[in-house]
Parts: sequence; C-alpha cells; structure tokens
Amino acid sequence: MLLLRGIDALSLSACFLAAGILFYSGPARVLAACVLLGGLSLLVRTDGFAAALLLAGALSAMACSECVISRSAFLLSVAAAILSGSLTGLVPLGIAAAAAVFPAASINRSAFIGAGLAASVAAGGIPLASPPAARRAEEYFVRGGIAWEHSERLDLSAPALVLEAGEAEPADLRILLSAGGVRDDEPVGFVMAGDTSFPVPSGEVRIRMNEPVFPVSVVLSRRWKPMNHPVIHFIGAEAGTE
Amino acid sequence: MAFHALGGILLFIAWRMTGMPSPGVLGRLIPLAWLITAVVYGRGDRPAASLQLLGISLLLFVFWAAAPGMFTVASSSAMLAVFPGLMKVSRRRLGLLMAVIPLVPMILVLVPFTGDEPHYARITEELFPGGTGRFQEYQRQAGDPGEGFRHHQSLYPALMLPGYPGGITGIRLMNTLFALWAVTVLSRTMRKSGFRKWRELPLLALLTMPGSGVLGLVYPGWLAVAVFVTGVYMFLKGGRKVWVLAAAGALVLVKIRFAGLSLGLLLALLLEYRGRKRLTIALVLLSVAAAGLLFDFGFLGGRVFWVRYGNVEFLKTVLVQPLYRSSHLLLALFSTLVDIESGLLWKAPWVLAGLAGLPALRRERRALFRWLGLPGLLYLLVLVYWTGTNWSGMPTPAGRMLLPLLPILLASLGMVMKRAGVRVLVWISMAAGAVYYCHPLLRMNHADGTDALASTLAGAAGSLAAWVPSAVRFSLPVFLFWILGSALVVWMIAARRGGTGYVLAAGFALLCLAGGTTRTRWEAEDIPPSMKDFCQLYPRETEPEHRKFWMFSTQRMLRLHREEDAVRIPVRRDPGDVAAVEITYRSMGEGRGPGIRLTCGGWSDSLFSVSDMLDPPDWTTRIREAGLEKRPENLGELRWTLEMPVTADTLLIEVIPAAGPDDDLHGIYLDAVTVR
Repeated sequence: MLLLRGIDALSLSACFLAAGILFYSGPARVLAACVLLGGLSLLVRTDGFAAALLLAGALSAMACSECVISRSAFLLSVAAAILSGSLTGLVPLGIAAAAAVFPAASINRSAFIGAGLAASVAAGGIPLASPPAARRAEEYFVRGGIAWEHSERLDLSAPALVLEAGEAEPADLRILLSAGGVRDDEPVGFVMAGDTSFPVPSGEVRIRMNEPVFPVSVVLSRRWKPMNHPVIHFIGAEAGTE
Repeated sequence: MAFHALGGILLFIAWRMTGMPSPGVLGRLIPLAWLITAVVYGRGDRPAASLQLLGISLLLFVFWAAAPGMFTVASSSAMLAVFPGLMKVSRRRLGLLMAVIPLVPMILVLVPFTGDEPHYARITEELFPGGTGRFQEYQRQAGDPGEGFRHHQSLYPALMLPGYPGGITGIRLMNTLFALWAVTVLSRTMRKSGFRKWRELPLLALLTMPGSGVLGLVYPGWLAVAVFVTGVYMFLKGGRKVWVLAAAGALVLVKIRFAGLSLGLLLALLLEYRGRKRLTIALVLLSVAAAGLLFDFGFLGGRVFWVRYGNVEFLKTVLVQPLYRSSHLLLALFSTLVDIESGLLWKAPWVLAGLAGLPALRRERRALFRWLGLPGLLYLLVLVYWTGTNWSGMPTPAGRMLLPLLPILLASLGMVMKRAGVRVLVWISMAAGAVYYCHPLLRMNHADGTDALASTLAGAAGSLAAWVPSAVRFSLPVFLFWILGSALVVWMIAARRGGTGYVLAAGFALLCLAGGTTRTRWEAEDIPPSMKDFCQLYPRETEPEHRKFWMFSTQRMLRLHREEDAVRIPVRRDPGDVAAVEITYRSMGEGRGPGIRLTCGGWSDSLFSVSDMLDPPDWTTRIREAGLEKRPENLGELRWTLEMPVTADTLLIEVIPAAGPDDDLHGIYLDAVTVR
C-alpha cells in the first residue's frame, strides 16, 4: 500500500486500519462495514473524504472489537488520520479514542467515542475539510456571450464555486441563485468579483453586475450551527460579451 | 417498536444537529421510514444489526461535511440500518406487504417521474373515461413507429387504470402492488418448493437492485414477473396447464420484449410431455403463434407486433446479428453481469451467489429450476439478441431489463445462503440498494462509460475508470479479468470453498487501491470543468438515444473548435523528465484542417490533420445501401504519440482553428489523452 501510494499520514492510517482488521474479533457486520469504509478511503482522491472514511471505519470497529491489539491498531489509524490535518477540530476525539482502547465492555468504548465526538463538535463544530473544496462551474460559449448552465449545490462540504471567463471581458453578468437553510436574515453567502461582493440572502436571488472582474466566486459564508443547514443552489449564470 | 421509534427520532435530531443537507426531504423521509418500521414491527427483539448500523450512521453523520460524497454515504447508511428490521417484519403474516410500506414514501417523493413513466401514464389516461389531461404533454416519444401508433402496448397501461385518479401517486402505487403480487407469489412458490427462508428471500428482491430500482415505478418489469411467477406457481401447485398458457399469452401482450419469457414457459410445459404428444403440442403452439401474428396483421392492422417490429430493415438487422455482429452480441451478453453502468455485479453482487446456487437448485429442486430457469434464460437471450448493445435501455434505472431473472436467481441464492461469503455479498447489495433508495438519480446512467455512483464516490482524479469494465469503453483485458474474477467467486461459493469472504475483501481492497492511484489516461467524458476552458462534449445531450446508431464507437467526445477552447492535463513528472503523450481524436475540416497544439511550459508542438470518412460496416450494407453522413462519429480516429520534455506541471491542449467557413461541426474531437 505504501509502495503504491507513498508514505503519508492517510496511507499510514489505512495501513493501521488494515492491521486492526487482521486482529479484529467482534460482530462480522461491523467488520464488513470497516472493510468497506477503509476500502473506499483508498479509492477517493480527496484527503478530507479519505480521512472521514478512515475515522468512521476505525472508530466503529474500535467500539466493537474485543481484541485489545486490534483496538490499539485502530487507535493508531485514528491518530494518523487526525494528524494528517485533512479535517478540522478533532483533537478531543483523538483523546477520547485513546481512552476507548482500554474498557472491556463495548458499550463503555462506544460511550467514550460518542463523548469524544460530542466534545469535538461542541469545541469546534463538525469536522470540515481542510482546505475547503472549491469547484469550478462549466462555462460555454453561447450566442452573444458565455453561459454557465449546470446547477451546483454549495453547502459546508463544498462551500465555493468559481466562474471563469478565460480571456473574455464580458460587459455584464447575471447570476441566478437560491439560498436557504438558515434561521435568521443574515446573508447565507456572497458573490465576489474582484473587490466587489454581493450578499446572498435566503430565497431566490438574481444578481446582475456590470463589467465583472473574473474569476467570480460564489461562497457560502456560514459556519456550522445546530439546526441550520445553509445551502446555496447555483442555478445558472449568463455573461454578455457583445 | 420502541427501538425503531427511538432510532427514527434520534436520526431526525442528529440530522438537524449536524446540519446535514436536505433536512426537509431526506431528513424527514429516512426517520419516517424508521417510524413506519416501528409501527409495522410491533413487538419483538431489537435487530442487532440495526443497532450497529445505527451507530455507524450517527458516526458518519458527524463527518458529512468532509466531502460532497460523504453525505451520500451517511444518509444511505441510515436507510440501510432499517433493512434488518424489515427482514424480520417479512417473517410475519402479511409480512411482505408490511415490509414494503416504509419504502413507499421514499419512492413516491424522491424518484423523478421520468423515462418511459409519463408515456405509460399517458396511455392510461387515454384509456380512462374522462381523463383530466394531466399527462397531455407526453404525446409522442422517440421510437414510436408512426402517427397513431406507440411502441408501448395497451394491456399494462390498462391495468393501471384503478390508480389513475390518484395521479402519479396512484399509478405508482398500482406498480407497487404489481411488485407485491410478484414477491408474494414467488414466496409461496418457494414455500411449496421447501425453502426455509421463503419469506426473506423475496423481500431481498425489493431491497436490492435490480428489483429496488424499479419498485413502484411505472415500468412493466414487476408486472411481467408477477404474471410469469403466477403461471409457474399454479402449475407447480396443481399442474394447471391453462395458467401457463394464459401467462405466456399475457406476457406478450404486456410487452413484446417478454416473448422470451413466454417461450420459456411454453418450452418448460412441453418438457412435461413425452413422445408424440410433445410434438403435437409443439405444432399446436406454433400454429397458435402464427395465427396470432396473422390475426394481428389482418384484423388489427399490425397494432400488436407488425408496426413495432415488422419492418423489413429491422428484421434484417436482427437476422444479420449472429453472422456479422457476434462480438457485439457477446459483449452485450457479458455486459449484463460486469458492465460498470448497467451490469448487476456492481449494483447487486448477490447475483454471484445466485449463479453459484444454480447447480444445487438443479440437483435438489429440479422442477423449480426448470420452470424458473428456462424462461429466465430465454428471456435473457432474446433480450440480448433482439436489442444488441442497447439491451440496457439506459438511462432508465440500471438493471431494470433483467427483472425476469430475479426468480431463478433468488431461488438459487436460497440454496447457498449459508455458505461462506454469501452474506457479505447480500449485505453489500443491500447497502447499494439503500444508496439507490436515498439518491435515486444515481440509478440512472447514460451509456457514456461512467457510473453515477462510482463518479460521486471516486471523483475525477482517480483511475477507477481504467480498472472497471465498460461496454462503451471496451477493453478486452479488463472485461476478461472481471469475468474470470466473477467466475472464481461463483466457483468458490458453488464448491463450498472457505475463504470466499477473504477473496471478496482482497478483491475490493485491490480495486480501491488501484482505482485510487493517480490517473494517467483521461477520457473526454471524465475531464472535469476545472481542467477545461469552454470546450463542450459532443453530443451535448447526455441522452444515449443521440448515440444509439453510431456505428464505430458510442463514446462522447470533447469538441475544441475556438481559440478559447483548451484542456489542461496534469503532468505527474519531475521537471527535466521526458513524458510519453498519446492523444486520440478525430479532426473534421477542409484542406489541411484544424490543428492541435500541445504546450508544456516553454515546449510546444502542433499537428494539422483531417480524419478520413469511414466506410459503413459490412453488416449495414447487407440491410440497405446507404452512405454515411459526414459527421464526427463517422470519422476515422487519429492517434498522435510523442515524447515531451517536462518543463511544467500541466499539458495544455488547444486547437488551431482552420481557415474557411465556420460550419457547425468542424474542429478537433478529443477522445482520450494519456500522459505517462
């Protein structure tokens, strides 16, 4: 694995997970889930995604494994995934996972892990990818301008979208968005073009700007907060070049 | 009851606390499925698997924001956790009905009303006295043989009439009833044949693909299975042959596609006779079929068969298939199992266990094997022979055409359920089923070589596409590898070899490891927006109908025809190294044609060329004399191989537009780029 992928924290985490699986003793279904999550972590090419899958696999197997060697290997996997820095704010979870190696009863280990997760979320919110993912909208030439036709969803897992126009210098830009999922009137995000920024409030939003400076970014600005599900739907955009 | 109710409430609260997307739809539907399960579950032990899966789901909920694909994993795991409860519910009286109820809201709310569904609904509306015209807009569709004729038949829409007043919900509920009819009769057939798990096995068909993919949707697959299995059950129960004849006739009237099933039923019936009686009955059946075709031709104006499939060119196409397109037919046949987009291996790996159980089923329950197997086999062969590489009917839910194979595969699965590795295959299949229930758009692929779920999970940068078989991007070694791999697993289960679970886990891990390595070959369809400027895929529409009649390759291509069009391919080599580059493309233009320019840092090279028009394949000229239009899909492929000094981390591919009139189609059509 290390030969194919090179030595980095996430590859080490996957190796420790594999070692834990070898010594695992417990419900077969959890083992299968751990293999599935660990395998998928090798497939995905985003560090945050891989770290999350490794952590989920290692923590669930740690809660159920009756073998202390296996649990120790899972702890190392958790530690390596946290130390990779691909996800934010997981130190309390790491400490709780270390404590969860020792209890003999599965329910106690689960309680430690649950408490660690709760402490991590309470201290720094839900884990986010570091750095956050930014996508690029697909642009097309259309008669008289440029269009971005594919809709995209921006949420905490992918909070930014970039619109590029190449060498073109459009005279104007019209963006159609729909935002929501929050419980106040503050903007959900912003559309930024050069030094200019436009707030994106909840509801359907049409933004028109003259002589926009590209790249233009649509950014979700909200942080995680319980009972809030901030989202911006990018529905489409058009820029006139004539 | 309390466990599922508390589980539902816990998921509802966790969804809101973690801020997961879609709180108003999925965030309610999944907890609702748990609450309905609580009601239908009643008293009983808490399913251990549900508790474990619930714990894993809650863990995944916390990590949902790590990447866009994580939400798919987290939400689906919460749905999967309810399945063990449904399996337990199925063991009770009316259990199959009760077990389906929690799934119904998901189907009604989440699955878009698309594909052939509106067209069937429109026919139902026409048959309904005083129809409201709500499906008026779906008048005609591609493939209709002519004005006043549809390529769909009327029996199936007529059977949905009771649901019409309820609109989309009503006709979808009718289809849910058809599925329930099918699994209930299958369950009785299995009980009669002595299966111990005669209640759980049919439910599996509704929790896993391909059955779950069209459960409740307006497609005739489940109705056909119901008619087919009813005929078999009535014969096995009391030797009532008239039911077999009725089922065989009804299947053809439901959809001509099911003629293979009818043929199989009649063949199984013939095998019940001996000597001269068998020959006589065969002749009688043939005469009845011929009379039916003549009646259709003479009295019904060909409405049932001739207007749809009776035109000379179509019949010629079907006739020349085995002689001139045998490789296509073979590819289509194996695609039903291994193709990444439509094959069952990836969406329902339990079919491997189903195949492994066939010898045991033949040995121990010969009558059931014959009655379910012959129709299934003939259906598959007719489907592949009749429709060729279009057998999958994409972009409708993957595997829906293979529904008639479910009864035989489930019965044989029942024979090997306790063998090593089988439960793992079933659980993976249920996990895939849960994903497709929660995210139904992932069921639909577009015959472009990419699978929606695999793309969601693996993203663009990995090399998974190079390691999985695709009929559209055919690679013989990859196809052979997966066919042999599947055969190995089938053999291990059939031969009761230990270690099947290890082989499966190792195979999965190796695939993920290989698929997670850095990609060196970029197919046009896989290039993400972040790596291209302006250029568009050709054809622009994702609908495979536009590529259905392409004769040389049905892959989409990336068109570069303006100066601004560009593609940037990452170069994973150190500066100073030499990289091998291979570009395959088609070039359309006049004179010396458009050029293709490669740039890497300070290095640059360009090539001007025009693709030759290809000659039509032999088999088409045997059907009719027709020239090919000058279109990109009919041009010969060009391959430019070169070595490039690496001076930057990106290879820029641009077009040098040709001088002359700017027609609609000229330009460079990129198929694939390899940088090693």
